[in-house]
Amino acid sequence: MKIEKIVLNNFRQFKGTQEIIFSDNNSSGVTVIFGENGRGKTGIFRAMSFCLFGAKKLPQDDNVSETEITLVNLQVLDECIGTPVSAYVKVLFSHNACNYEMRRTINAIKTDDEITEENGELSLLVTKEDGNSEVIDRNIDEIINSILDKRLKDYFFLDGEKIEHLTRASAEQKREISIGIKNLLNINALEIAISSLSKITRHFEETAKDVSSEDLTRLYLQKKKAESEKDKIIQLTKEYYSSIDSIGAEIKKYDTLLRGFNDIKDLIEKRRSIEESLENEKNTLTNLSSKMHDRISSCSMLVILPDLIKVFESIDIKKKNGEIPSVIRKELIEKLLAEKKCICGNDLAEGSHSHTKILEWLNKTSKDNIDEVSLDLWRYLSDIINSSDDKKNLIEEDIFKYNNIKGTIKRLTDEAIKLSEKIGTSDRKDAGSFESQRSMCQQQLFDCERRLNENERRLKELDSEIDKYNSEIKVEEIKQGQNNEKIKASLLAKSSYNALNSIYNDFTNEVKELIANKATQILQSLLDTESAQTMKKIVVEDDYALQILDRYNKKFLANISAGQRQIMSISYIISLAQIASGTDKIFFPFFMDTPFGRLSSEHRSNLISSIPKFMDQWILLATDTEFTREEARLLQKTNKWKYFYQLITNSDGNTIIKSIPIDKADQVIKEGQ
Amino acid sequence: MKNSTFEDNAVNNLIMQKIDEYDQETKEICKLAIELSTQYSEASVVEQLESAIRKNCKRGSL
Repeated sequence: MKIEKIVLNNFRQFKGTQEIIFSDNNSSGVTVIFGENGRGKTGIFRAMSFCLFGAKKLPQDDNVSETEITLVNLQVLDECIGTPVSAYVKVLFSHNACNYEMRRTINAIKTDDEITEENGELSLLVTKEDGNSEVIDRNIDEIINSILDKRLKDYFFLDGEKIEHLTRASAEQKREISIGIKNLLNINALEIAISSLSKITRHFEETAKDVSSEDLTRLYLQKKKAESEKDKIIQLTKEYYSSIDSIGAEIKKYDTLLRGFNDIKDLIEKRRSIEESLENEKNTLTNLSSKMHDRISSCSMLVILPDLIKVFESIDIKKKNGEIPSVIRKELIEKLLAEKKCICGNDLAEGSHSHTKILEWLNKTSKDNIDEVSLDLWRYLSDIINSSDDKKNLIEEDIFKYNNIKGTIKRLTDEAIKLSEKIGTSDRKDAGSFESQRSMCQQQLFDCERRLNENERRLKELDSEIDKYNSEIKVEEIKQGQNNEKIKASLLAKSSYNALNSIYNDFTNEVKELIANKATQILQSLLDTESAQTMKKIVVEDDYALQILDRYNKKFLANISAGQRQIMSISYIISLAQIASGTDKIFFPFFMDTPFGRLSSEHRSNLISSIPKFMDQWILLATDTEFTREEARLLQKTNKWKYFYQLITNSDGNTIIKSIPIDKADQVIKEGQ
Repeated sequence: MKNSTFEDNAVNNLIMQKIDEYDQETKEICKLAIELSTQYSEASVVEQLESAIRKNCKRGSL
C-alpha cells in the first residue's frame, strides 16, 4: 500500500480544499509535515485515520468522548449557523497494481452553542491495472481491511509518543492485535480451512456410524459428546469476551464521567494504573498456574518420595550384596559363554575361574523373573531420586512466585478498593452513583474473567480427551475402512485436518520466532550503545504481546524507558511488516505523529538513518523542536527525502499547507539547541 | 475482494512447504482446502471440499 495524496475539505483547521502529495511517479520516500503545536499536524493524522477507517477518535483521545471531537471546520460552522455543512477527506492510494480513491464525508450543523455531527457518504473508486475503473459503494470498509487491517492501523498510523503503549496493551487490545496480525500475515485462510475440515470430519463420522462396528460407534458417540461440550464452551468463551469488551467500554465511560470531578481526577488516574498492573499480575498468575498444572504429572512421584527412597535403598543393599544380578543382561552373559570370550577379551576356557564366575552370574539372572523386575525398578527409582532435587527446586520456585503474585494481587486489590471508596465519597452525589455503577461493572468483569479461566482449563481437558478418542477411532477405522467408502472419506478428512492443525501450530510458533529474531536485529541497529547492551532480545509471547530479555535472559520490559519502548515497538512493527511483505523493504506507509519527541539524540539519528532503508514510505508529522536542521541534514543524507510541507496559521486562525522544496527547507527549520 | 492468492504471500509459502511433507492424498486435500478458503466463505468451502473428498474416495485411490 502506498499513499499518493490526501485532499482535505473544510476538515478541522483546514478551511476550503487543500492537498498533500506523498508520492509521484512511483517515487514516495520520506515526507515531512512540519509545524508548531496546534497547526494541524494531528489533524492530518486524524484525517487519514477518519477517511480510511472511519475513526473519529485517535488513540490519544482515549479520555475524550466522540461527541467532544468536531471534525468539520469550526469557522465554516460559525459562518453557517443553522445550516448543514459538509466536510470530506479524500485519500488516493495504490496497492497491488490497483489505484484507489476513497472519500469519506461528515455532515454537521451548529445551532446556538451546540454542534451535531453525523457520518456522510462513503465512496471508493478502484482503477485496475488494465485501466478499468469501478465505483464501489458496498463493503468498502471490508476492502480497506483486507489491505490494511483496522486492528493494526495503530501500528502503521501511529503517534510516536503513544506507540510505546503497544508494549502495555490490555488483554482486549492484545486479542484484537493478535487477530489483526493473523490477517496481516494472511493466515486467516488457514484457519478457515482448518475449521471447514473439522466440520467435514464430524459430518463424515456421523454418516460412517451406520456402517461401523459397535466399538467404533461408541467411540464416535463419546467423541461427539466431548466435541459438543467443547463447542458450547467455545461459544460461551466468545460471549464472555464480548461481555468483557462491553463491560470494559462501560467502565471507560464511567471513568470519563468521573474524570469530570476535579477533586477525584488524580485518584481515578491512580486507580486506572493499579487496575492495569492488577490485570498484568492476573495474567502472569494464570500462565504460572497452567505451567504448574502441567508440571504436576511429572512431579507426582515427589509426594511419595520418602517411601520410594526406602524401596530404592532396600533393593540397592541387595544389589550391592550380589543378591540380585548386576545391570549385566542375561543375553550378554549367554553371548560371552557361547563365544567363549570374556568382555575383557580373554578366552573363557571351560572350568576356568572366570568361566565359573560367569556361570554363577548366569544362574543369578535366570533364577527368577522378579530379579529382572527389581533391577528395572532400581533403575527407575534411581532416576526419580536423582532428579527429585531439581523438580523440588522448580516446584518451590513456582510456589514462591505464586505466593508473591498472590500477595501483589491482594495488595493491589486492597489499594484499588480503598481508592474506589475515596472516589465514591466525592462531594458530588452523582460521582458516588457513577462510582457504584462502575464497581458493579468491575465485579462483573472479574466474574467473566474467572469463568473464562475455568473455560480455558476445561477446553484443554476436552482437547486431550478428543485426541485420545481420535487415536482410538483411527485404529478402529483402519481395521474397518479397507472396503468402506464412508469410513475412507472420514479417514481422509481427518488426516487432512490433523495435518493442517499441526502445520498451523508449528507455523505460528515459527512465525513468532521469526518476528522476534528480525525485531531483535532491527532493535540492535536502532538502540544507542548502552541500551543495546542491556536490551538483548525481543520475545513475542503467545498472544503476540512483546517482552524484552536482558543479557541474563530475564524479562526486562518493566525496567525500560518510554523512549526505549518506542524504539522497541517500531522494531516490532518493521519486522512484522517485513514478514508480511516477504521482503526486507516494506510496502506499507509508516505514518508517525511526533516521531522524535521522546527520543535521545542517538536514537533519533539511528531512526532517521535506518527507517528509510526499511520503509518505502515514511510520513513524519514533526514540530520545530523535534525536527531541527540536524535531523534535516541526517534525512537528506539518506537521499530518500522527497516532500516537505509547512503548516502555517493564516490571519483567520485556519491552517494553510505550504509545499517547500527540500533544498529550501533550511529557511524554515531552526538550528537544534 | 482478495488482492492476492495464498501462494503469493511469502509467509504462506512456508505453509505450502510444510504441506508437501504429507502423503499425496492428504496434501491434495490440504492444498484444496486452503485454496478454497482464500476465495470462498466457510460454508462454501465445506460444501466443495466435502464433495472433493467423496470423489477422491470413490476413485478408490486411498
